[in-house]
Amino acid sequence: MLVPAAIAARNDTINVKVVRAAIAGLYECVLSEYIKDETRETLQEDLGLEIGEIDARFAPLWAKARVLTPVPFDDPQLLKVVKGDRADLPVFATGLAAQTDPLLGPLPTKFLVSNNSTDFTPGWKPFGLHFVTAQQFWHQLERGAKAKMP
Amino acid sequence: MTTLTSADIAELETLAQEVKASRPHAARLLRRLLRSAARPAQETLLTTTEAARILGVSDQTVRNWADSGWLPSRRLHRLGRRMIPESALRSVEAFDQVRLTPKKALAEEDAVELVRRHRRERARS
Repeated sequence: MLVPAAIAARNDTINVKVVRAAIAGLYECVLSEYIKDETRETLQEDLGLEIGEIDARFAPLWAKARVLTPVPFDDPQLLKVVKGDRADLPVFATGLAAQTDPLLGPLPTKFLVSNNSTDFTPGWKPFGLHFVTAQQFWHQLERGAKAKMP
Repeated sequence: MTTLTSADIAELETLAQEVKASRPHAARLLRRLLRSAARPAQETLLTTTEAARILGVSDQTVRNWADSGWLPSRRLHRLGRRMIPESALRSVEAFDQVRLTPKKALAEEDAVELVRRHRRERARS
């Protein structure tokens, strides 16, 4: 989600809206250094962008997001969730870190937002972490606020 | 605009006190000026329409978010319109101001596959 948001030419794509909502503080965004590095590396190595410009683009998000250390991911139960693919473990383990974080732990709902529906099947809720696409998450953001209306 | 020091304010308060009996209107004016000088700089407030334009959502969504407390808001008076502090959205505008132009064009759905591939290569190395 971060990579397409970084290179989007317009502000009205769903990925950009979700990032901008995080920057505006509409929800608590959790990242890890792993996710930040992966975003930087993909943009740098595969799309030829400079690290300085990538960090300049994301500076407001890096400043706003809560950067957590992924939970240890040597538990075989976690490997089942990512269908045996160890490459996805650090991302899932970052999501799980939010469950035990003292500030975020008590929050009722936590989402792992990814457009990679193949590896993070939307609708699945392993360990209480809701897998959603950026589109579904945006819908939740809009609907969530309405649901609180009297 | 001139900034008043605390010494300036003290001197003008003394003056207002001194002229209170002889020139009450001037004393009241002085006090009003002093109160306004002492007030902190007012924050720029946006209407919900302006905030909605920045966030790319409808007015109603901004009002809902403000009602839920997800977005900070103020009312200028009890029945007044809800206003959004511009400072709450300043970082969003900072994000918009930096545009990245990749060397090759990439569709959003292709970006997903690109990240997947990169993640697997990273895990192998």
